[in-house]
Amino acid sequence: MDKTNVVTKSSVAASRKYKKNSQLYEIWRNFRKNKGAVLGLTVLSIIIITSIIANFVIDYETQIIRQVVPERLQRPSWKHPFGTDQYGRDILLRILYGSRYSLSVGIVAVMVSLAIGGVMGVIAGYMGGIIENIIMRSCDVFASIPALLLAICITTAFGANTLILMISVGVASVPAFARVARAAVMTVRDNEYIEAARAAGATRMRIMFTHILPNCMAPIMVQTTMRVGSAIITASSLSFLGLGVPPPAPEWGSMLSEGRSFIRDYSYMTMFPGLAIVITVLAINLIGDGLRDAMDPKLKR
Amino acid sequence: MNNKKALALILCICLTFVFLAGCSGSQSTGAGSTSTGSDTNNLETSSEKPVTEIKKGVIVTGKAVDVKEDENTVYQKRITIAPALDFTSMDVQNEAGGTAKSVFFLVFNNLVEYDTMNSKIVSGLAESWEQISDTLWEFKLRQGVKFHDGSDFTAKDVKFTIERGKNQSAAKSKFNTIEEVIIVDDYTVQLKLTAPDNDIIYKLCEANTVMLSSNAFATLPEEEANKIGTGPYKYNEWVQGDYLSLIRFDDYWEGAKKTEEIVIRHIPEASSRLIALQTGEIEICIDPPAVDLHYVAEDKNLVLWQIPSTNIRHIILNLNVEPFNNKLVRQAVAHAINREDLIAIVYEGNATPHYNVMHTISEFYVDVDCPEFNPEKAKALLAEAGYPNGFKTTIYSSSGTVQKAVASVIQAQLKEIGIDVEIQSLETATFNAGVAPGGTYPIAVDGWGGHTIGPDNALRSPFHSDGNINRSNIKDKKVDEMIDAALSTSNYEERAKIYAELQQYLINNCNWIPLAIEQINVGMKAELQGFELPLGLHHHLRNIYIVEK
Amino acid sequence: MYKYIIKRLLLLIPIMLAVSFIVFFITDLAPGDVVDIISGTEMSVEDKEKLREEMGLNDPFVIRYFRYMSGLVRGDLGISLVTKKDVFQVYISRLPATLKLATAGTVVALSIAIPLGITAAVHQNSWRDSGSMVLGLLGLSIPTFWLGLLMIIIFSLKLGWFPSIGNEGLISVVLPAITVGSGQAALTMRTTRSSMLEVIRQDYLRTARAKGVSEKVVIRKHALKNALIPILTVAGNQFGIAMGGAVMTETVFAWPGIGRLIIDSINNRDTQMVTGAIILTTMLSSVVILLIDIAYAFVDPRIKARYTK
Repeated sequence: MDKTNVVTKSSVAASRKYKKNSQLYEIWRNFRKNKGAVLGLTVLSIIIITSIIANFVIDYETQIIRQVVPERLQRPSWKHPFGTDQYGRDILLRILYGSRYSLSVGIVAVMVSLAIGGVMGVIAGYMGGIIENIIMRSCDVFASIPALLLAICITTAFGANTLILMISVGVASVPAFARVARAAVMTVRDNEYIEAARAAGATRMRIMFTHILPNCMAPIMVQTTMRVGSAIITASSLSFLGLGVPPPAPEWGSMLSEGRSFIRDYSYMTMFPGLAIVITVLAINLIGDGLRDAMDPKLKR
Repeated sequence: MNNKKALALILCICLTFVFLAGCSGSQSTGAGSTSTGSDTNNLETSSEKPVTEIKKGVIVTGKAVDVKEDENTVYQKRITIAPALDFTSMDVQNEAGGTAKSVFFLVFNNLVEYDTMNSKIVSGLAESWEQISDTLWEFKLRQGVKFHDGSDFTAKDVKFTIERGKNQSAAKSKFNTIEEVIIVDDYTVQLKLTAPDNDIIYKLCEANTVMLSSNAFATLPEEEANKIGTGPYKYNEWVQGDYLSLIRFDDYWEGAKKTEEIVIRHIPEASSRLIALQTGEIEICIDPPAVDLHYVAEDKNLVLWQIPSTNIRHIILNLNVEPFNNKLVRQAVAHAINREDLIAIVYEGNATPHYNVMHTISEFYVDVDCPEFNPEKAKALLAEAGYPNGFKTTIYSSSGTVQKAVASVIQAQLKEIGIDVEIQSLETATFNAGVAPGGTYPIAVDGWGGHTIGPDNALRSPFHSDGNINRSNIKDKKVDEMIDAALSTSNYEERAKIYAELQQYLINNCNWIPLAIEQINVGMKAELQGFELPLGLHHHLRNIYIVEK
Repeated sequence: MYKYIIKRLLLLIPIMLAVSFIVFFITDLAPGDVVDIISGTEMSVEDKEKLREEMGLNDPFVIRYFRYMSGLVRGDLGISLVTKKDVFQVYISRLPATLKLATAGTVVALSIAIPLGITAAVHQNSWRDSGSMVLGLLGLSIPTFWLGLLMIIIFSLKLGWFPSIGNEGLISVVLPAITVGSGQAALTMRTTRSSMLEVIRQDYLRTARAKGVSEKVVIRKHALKNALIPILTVAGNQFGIAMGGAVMTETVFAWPGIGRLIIDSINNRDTQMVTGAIILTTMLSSVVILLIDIAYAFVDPRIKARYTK
């Protein structure tokens, strides 16, 4: 969100002055046309702002994890707008506070896969030949193991704490990133300015990361956005299998999965964390779709 | 335009779906919406149906349909049972899983059997038995008993079973006190023991000690021979992870049973399991979600059995790990635990608080003085031990719903006295490996149901220096001596005295803190007849039937 | 063409080898082993150690992997460490249910995705575009197990339309298929939308419109046909994923599929079963994808020309 905001501001300013930086401005203009994407961006901004405010307003020890037996399983009321869970904890506060867990699981996981997959893809795309072959074939291998299973294997092997969870969710989408990055690099690498850089004596590494990478960011960014959503969903699936963020952290996925035995009588216990996940993931996906449309020159009217 | 309509329609469907989902809770709970605390109260007061109290604390809500039977009665062909855990193997002498053991009681017979309704040992494949001396038992075998492969059950099968079992992983601990099996004649055997073993008769009732066919093992490959028993049902088909089908054995020595086929069905998700019972897809649902039990109780077509299980839920403190090697710290933990709250949260009130290492079903159970809930005292003890500001530690739990919930409650309760606990929720293999004797975990949530095969097994496994599950790593000479002495003492009073002293000693030691006796909840169709109390966690399903209308 | 197929099939072999190594290795990395599962509380520490020795679990990883591979190259996937059943047999017994669910799920996904994708493309940037996208993405954004449980409660328990569990007859596949399909629909819908957007502006469609063909026919007959290939590729990929990855759905609906088999085996540390099942699943989904590729070649002469090059 922050990134886009920065982009907007700078691009608006730039366009006013010099009408330069037209590519970014163009993307933003296209993005704005897409109503779904704008909605998604608005919703996500609200969620992020809430999670930041929640950090200052809510006390973790007394309001989030403290168990209050007399107040357990209370239906939504003025006192507890979203009700309380089986431990007597307020669900609204937990959801507000928990947004950071879900968002950070999604974001960190994707950063992991972006860091590994992106680099692998760039190297493969730029080097070509046998290195490309090795990298892409090993991606094929990883891609053929179902993502969730890979995540399960890793969490069982290294223990289920939040960091391992993030990594294991991320590793599963490494091949996808590698493929996207490679494809993007291949469209750029034969351009003249690369030749020029090479002629000027730039090293391979320098060319790869200062000339090629910035010019193929678009598809990678789109991929990144969309994967954040699916990482949040995968994390909640792991919770369902008992391997998610350890209690008592109010991560939405683990709230949803803990609430599932209460789904018939106390459906609000799953309803609210479930909706929180749905809304967030939906917003992220809408932004991703909007970005992709905005960046794809083929789709211009 | 058509597209517009289609889209509108889809939108409508989606919205209705979301709304239905939203309403589903509030609708269904209209009746019980006033109750916020324990559900058992709700269950007993709001239900108009008779609540029959059977002995040993079993509550049956709802009434089985009365049936009249004569020679023309037609019985329902198939009955489906959905246990909570999957069936894993037919390898009788090596299997430890509870569901498999329920199945073994259908397919096999023991020499003697445990009558759970009356808490006594009754005749099985042995018609009578007698203890000739401290170390010699004689069994007279039933005649005319046939195995599923057609061979006769005789003394050589008993000898074969016991001798084979001594080398098999799960049966070994039950047969290891038997030195020799002496065949007196075809239908008489004597068991010669290495040392006096007061519990041998209990051990012979266990699922791992059922009688196998020596003929089958001589003629068939092992995995086929493992399926041959003398029981009322024989193995039919097993699709792993889906179902196991058992077919009636027509030559059963007690006479063929009424139901033709029993299917054990694996439904992993508890909510789905209960719904399958309500929609009539299965006949018996074991352990529906605790919070949903009232659906069974309120339904006229269903009957709910709430049976105290043999499982004692407890936490163990590892004596090898700082600071739990300090008795004061252990006592502080014991004083910090509020069992009532724990039971309300974890079991929705459907469990009994427990304060002893011995189960109440044991004849040697005595009331002991257990550290009571007293956070002030707990804090004082912590301070005395040198931790006035508490400390950080970790609790291991398996990833099961109950275990995880127990860990969460313990975490919160220990937090109140200043101990910061981190939860490690692990799947079974990691958990078992982590808490194995010699392990380095600090606290663990565990369960122990070893009371069905006698008091010795109940206390030896977790507390003897070389007990199989001595997970708290207790190495106490006094405890070892008392356990050994109790096993070989033939004087009943003497034995009871030792066990009473031992129970109080172990509770004072606070390395194994009992929390609750869990409850087995079974929902079944009201037409179902012949359901009996389970032995331990293993259900007795031999006589179930439904009369076809 | 045949050369291409053979090449693709040959390429499977090194991939299978690598997959087997990785899966074998990762399951081995996890703490605990199968003895910790099967021993329960009934075995002493020494007995467990003895059993490990007998089962060869104490051998170094390389030796165990080599032992496994020597069976694998002869086509023997071994027996399950827990149930002692033949891995291949168990896999085959689970296969029909898995294929049924994957197929039904893909059908559901396509029938949600294609109409929505077309609507979105035809009305790009309108409220209908956004509406379709939101609808399509909804399925992707709902955690599967929650959707499954809600559907069981509504459609089995309250309305009584469908059975809640198991695999019996065609009707039992409806709810699981919707659960699987709605998750898959989003990606297929995206692909439909973007490939339709590309096709819609092609010259031959302009020609068709100019000739007076109605817009409906243009979209349905000309555009969709040409946009179909990427759509089917995505659907084929998703089919492959659904074969091994429908774990949540299989758990909630007690569906005897391969996803749950693999999860249960991971939890049981049944290395043979996990590795065998993943190898077979990978092989099957690769073959499905290859078949789709070949099918294009027959449909589209341009692609065929590319293969024969």
